[in-house]
Amino acid sequence: MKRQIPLMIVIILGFLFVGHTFIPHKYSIDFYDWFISWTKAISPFAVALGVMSLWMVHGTKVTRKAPNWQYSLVTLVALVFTAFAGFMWGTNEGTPFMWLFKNVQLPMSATMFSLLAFYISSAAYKAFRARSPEATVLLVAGIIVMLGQVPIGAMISKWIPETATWILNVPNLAAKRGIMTGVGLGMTAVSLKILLGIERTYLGGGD
Amino acid sequence: MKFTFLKTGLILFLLVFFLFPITTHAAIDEAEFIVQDLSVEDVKYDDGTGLKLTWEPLPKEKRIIEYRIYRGVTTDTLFYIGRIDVNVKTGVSSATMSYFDKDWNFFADLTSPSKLKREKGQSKDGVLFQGIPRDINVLGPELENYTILSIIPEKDFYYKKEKVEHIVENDTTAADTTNYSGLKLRNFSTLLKKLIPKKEYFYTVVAVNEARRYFPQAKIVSGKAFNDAPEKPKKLYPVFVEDLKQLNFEWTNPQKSSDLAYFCIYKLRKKDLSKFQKAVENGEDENSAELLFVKMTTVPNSDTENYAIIDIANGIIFDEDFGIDTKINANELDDYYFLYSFVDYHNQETYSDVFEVEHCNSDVLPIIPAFKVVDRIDDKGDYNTIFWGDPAVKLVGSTYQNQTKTKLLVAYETYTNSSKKMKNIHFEVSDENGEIIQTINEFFIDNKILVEIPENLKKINFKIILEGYENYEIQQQLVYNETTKSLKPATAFVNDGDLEKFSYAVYKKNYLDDEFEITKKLSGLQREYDDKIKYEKDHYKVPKIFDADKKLIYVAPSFETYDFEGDSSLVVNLFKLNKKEVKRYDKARHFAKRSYQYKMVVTDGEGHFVESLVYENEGVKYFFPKPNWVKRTMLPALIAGLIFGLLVFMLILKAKTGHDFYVRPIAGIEEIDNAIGRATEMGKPILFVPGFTGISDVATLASLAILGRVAKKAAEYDTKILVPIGVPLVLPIAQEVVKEAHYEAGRPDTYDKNSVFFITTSQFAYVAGINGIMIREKVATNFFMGMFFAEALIMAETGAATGAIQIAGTDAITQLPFFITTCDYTLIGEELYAASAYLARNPLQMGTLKAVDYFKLIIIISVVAGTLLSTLHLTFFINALPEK
Repeated sequence: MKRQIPLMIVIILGFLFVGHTFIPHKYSIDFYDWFISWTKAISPFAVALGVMSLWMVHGTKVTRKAPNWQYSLVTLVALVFTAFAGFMWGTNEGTPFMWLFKNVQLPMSATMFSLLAFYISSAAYKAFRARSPEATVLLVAGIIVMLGQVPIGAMISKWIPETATWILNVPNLAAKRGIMTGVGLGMTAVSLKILLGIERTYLGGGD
Repeated sequence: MKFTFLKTGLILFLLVFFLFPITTHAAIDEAEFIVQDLSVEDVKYDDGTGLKLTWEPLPKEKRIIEYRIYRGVTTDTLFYIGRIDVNVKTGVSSATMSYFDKDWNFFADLTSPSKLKREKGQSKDGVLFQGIPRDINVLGPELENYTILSIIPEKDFYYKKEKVEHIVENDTTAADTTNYSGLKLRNFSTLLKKLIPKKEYFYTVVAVNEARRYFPQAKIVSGKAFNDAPEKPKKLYPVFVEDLKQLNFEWTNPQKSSDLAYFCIYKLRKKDLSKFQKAVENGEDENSAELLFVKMTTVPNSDTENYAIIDIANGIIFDEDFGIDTKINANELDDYYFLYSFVDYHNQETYSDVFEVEHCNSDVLPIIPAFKVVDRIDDKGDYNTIFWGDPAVKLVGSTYQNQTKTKLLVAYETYTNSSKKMKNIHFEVSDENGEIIQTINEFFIDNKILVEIPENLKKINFKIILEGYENYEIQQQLVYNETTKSLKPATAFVNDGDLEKFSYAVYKKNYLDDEFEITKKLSGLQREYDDKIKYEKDHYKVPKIFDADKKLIYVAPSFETYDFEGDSSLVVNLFKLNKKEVKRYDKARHFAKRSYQYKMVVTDGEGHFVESLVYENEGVKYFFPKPNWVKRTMLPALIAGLIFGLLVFMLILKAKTGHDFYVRPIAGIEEIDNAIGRATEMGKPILFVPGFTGISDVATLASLAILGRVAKKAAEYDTKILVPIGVPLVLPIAQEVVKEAHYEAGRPDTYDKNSVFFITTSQFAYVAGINGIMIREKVATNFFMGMFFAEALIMAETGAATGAIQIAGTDAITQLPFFITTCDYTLIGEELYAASAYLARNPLQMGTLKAVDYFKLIIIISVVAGTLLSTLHLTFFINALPEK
C-alpha cells in the first residue's frame, strides 16, 4: 500500500493533466487552476525540509568537530541571521535582509559567475586542440563564427559574417533540432513510463 | 572564558548583524523628514467623489523610498489607504507629488489587518492606523462615511446568507420592516469605496526612508469633494450625406467618467452665435441652440456609441421621448453651426465649440464588409469571434542582407481570419520606372521574402496579389530613408484606396443592457476580433447597515436576472426562492449577461462612417459562448501521442515474449559501473548532482532514476555517495531513492541520511558548495545528470581539475558543449532519458526504449516527406501540423 497509493495518485492525476492539455473546457481549466494553487502550499514544507537537512548536516559536523567544521558554523550562523533579519525587519528595500542580499549575496554570486569567463577559455582551449579531423572542423568552424561576430571578420572578408551566419543557421540549428527532437521524445517516453507505472524510481527504489 | 579566534569572529559577526539596524536608526532630525505643503483639492469634472492630494517631495538626499497616505473622517483616526513608491537613488524630479483618491477603490478585503493596529512608529496616542481592519466594530461605523460597493462571490451570496429583519427608520413610503441578507465579513471578497460628495475627509502623508523608518506625519489637512459639470467636449464632425439626405455626427468621447448621463447634439443659427455664447457664459438655462439628438449613456465607465445618424429627408426631426420636434432644411444647413454637449446625472451640461457641416456623397463613405459572429472554438467558453473582410498583406520593414545593398530581406504581415484562408501570395517587385525586377510566389507564408535589387535603388514598388482573391491588389512602396539608411514601407493601397484609412468599431449589447457599448476599435488591417466574455462569479451590492453583535453586514437579498418567457429583465428576492429556483434564475442571469448581440461601424473618425445592422444568423441575434471539450488544434499531437502509446504497448508485449531488442551501446552509460568501481578502489566518495531544476522537470525525474541505479551499485560496493540538492522539493525524493537503493542492495546499515543534503536554491552559492565538496572530500567520480544552466561549466571544470572521472548527462543544449569538453563521458539529450532503461534492461523499460526509436523513424520520414512536398510547393502536409 505504501507504494501503491502514491502510484495510483500519480497515474490518475497524470492522466487528468494529460487530458487537460487536450480539453479546453471550463471544468478542466478550473480543476487545473485549483490543483496548481495547492502546489504553493507544498513549497513552504519543502523549504522547511531543506533547512532541516542543512541544519542536520552542518550541525552534526560542528558537534562532532569534523574536519573543516568551521565552514559549517559560518553556514549555520549565516542561515540563522539572514532568517532572523528577514523575520524581524522584513524583506523590503532598506531592511537589514536587503542589505545582506545586496552586499553579501550579490557580490559573491557575481564572483562565482565571473569565474565562468576563465572556465570558458579553458574549455575552449581543450575543445579547439586539432587532434583529429573532427576537432579540426570544430576549430575552423569556431574561428569563423567568432570572427563573424566582430567587425574585424567583415574587414578580412565579406564572406566571414555570412559563413558564420550560415554555420549557425544551418548545420548548428539542424543539430540542435535533432537533439531537441530526441529530448522531446525522451521526455514523452519517461512521462509515459511514469504514467503507466513502469518507471517508479521517483517513489524511492527501483522497479 | 577563553576567547579563541573563532569565538571572537563569531561575536563580531553577531554584533554587526545586531548593530546594523540600530546604526540605520541613528539620531537624525525628524522634523526635516516631515512632508510639507500638503493640500487637498477637489477633482474636476467628476460626480463629487474625487479628491486630489498634492505635496512637496523631500529631496533625494533624504533617501525616501515611499510616501504613505492616510485618510479619516476625523483628525484623531486616520487609516492607511495607499502609497507611492520612490526610486531611492533618483528621488522625485517633479516639484510636487499627487495622489488621487477617486472612483471606486480599495476599502477592505481579506488581506486587511484583523484588528485595529496603530501604524509603525506611532505612540499610544498616535492617530495613524494601518488599513481599516476586518473588525466589524471598526469597519461597520466606517461604512456610513463612504459609498461602499461590495463584491460577493455567488456561492456566498446565495447560500451563506442569514435572513435578518431591519426596521427602516423615517421611511414613510416603504414598509416598516424589510428583509436583508446578513453576511459575515469573510463572505465579501472585496469592499470598494467612493467618497461622499460634500463630506469632509482628513488626510496626511508619512515619508518612509530606505531603512524603513516612518517619520512623523505631515500636518493633517481636509477637503470636500463637489459634483462638477462635465469636462468640455472636444470635437464634433457634422457631415451631410447629400444623396442619402442624412446627417452624420461623430464625436470624441470624454475621458471615462461615471458621471455622464447624456450626449446632446444641437444646431445653432450662425447669427445667434454671440447670443448663445453669452447665455452659456452667464449660466442661463435657456439659449438659442436647438436640440436635435439625445443619446443616453447607460453603461458608466465604458465607451458608448459616439456617433449619430439623423435622417432629414422629410425635413422634420421628431423624438417624443426627449421632446425633440424641430424642422431642418437640407438647403439651409450651411446657415447653422452644430455643437454637442455632455450632461451629467445632476443635469449639469457643458457645451462644445461650434462646428460647420461638411457636405459629401455616399461614394466617399466606406463600405461595410460582411461580418460574422461565431463562438470561438478551442476555448473554455469565454470568447465570441467576430470576423469580416478579405485578407490583406502589408510590408512592414526591410533590411539589407549585404554590404552592396543588392539583397533585401522584406518583412510582411498578413491579416486574415479563420473563414478566409490565405493560400499563395504573389509579389511583383518593380523599380521606380515600373520595370519589373523580380516576381516571387510565396508558397509557404513565413512573413519574409528575399529580393535581389540593383544597387542604389531608392524606391521599390510592390504589387501584391493573393491567390483566390484576384479581384483586388495591394500596392505599396519601399522608400529609401536617409536618416535610417534603409528602405521604409510607405502607405499601402488596395485598389487605389488607402488600406488603413477606415477603422472598424465593434459594438455589443447583452440582454440586460439598454445601449450598445464599444467593445473594441480596430485598425483597417484587422480582419478578426476575439471578444472576451468573462464568466460571472460575483454579485455587486451596496451595503449600508451592519450589526456588530451578530457580526453581520446587511445587503439587499435581490439580484437582477432575465425572464426569457416574458422577454424582460427581472429582479428576484432570494428569500422568496427555493434552492432550485435560485439555480434556475442564476442560470438565466448568466445566460442574459453573457449573451451578446453585435454590430459594426466602419469609420475614418471624422464623420464618414457606415453602421451595420445588428448581426443575425438564422434568427439568432444573441451569441452565447459555449465551452469546448476538445482542443482541435491539438488533435495532431493527440494522434501522435496515441500512436506512440500504441507502439510502447506493442513493443512491451513483444519484449515480454522474450524478444531481445538491440540497443546501441552508449559509452557513458556502460562506463557507470567502471566509474563507481574506480571510486571504490580509491576509497573515495562518489558525487551525484541531480540538476538544478524542480521535480516537475522530466530531466530531474530521469536523473533520479539514474541515481537509484548508481546508489544501488555504490551500496553494493560499499562506497559513499554524496548527493547535494539545490531544490528543496527534490530533497525528500532523492533521500528516499538512495535509501531504497541501499535496502535493495541489502545494505540498509550503510545508508546515511545526511549523504543526501540540501545546499541552497541560489544558483552560484550552490555551485560554490559543490566545488567545495569536490575539493575537500576529494571525490573520485562525479555524475552530473539533469538540467543545468551557467553552473555546469564551473562544476565540470573544477571536477576535471581535481582529477575525478566525470560522467554528465543533460538535455540543456547550451550546456552540452561544456560537458563534452570537460567530462570523460556525456549523455547527449535523449541518452539521459534512455539511461534508466538501459541500466534496468527489463522488458517494460526496453519496450519503451525501442518505441522511442521507432517513433523517431516516423518523425524522420515525416520530416523528409514534408521537405519534399514543400519543395514541390505542396503545403497541405506542413499546414496540417500545428506550429506550437
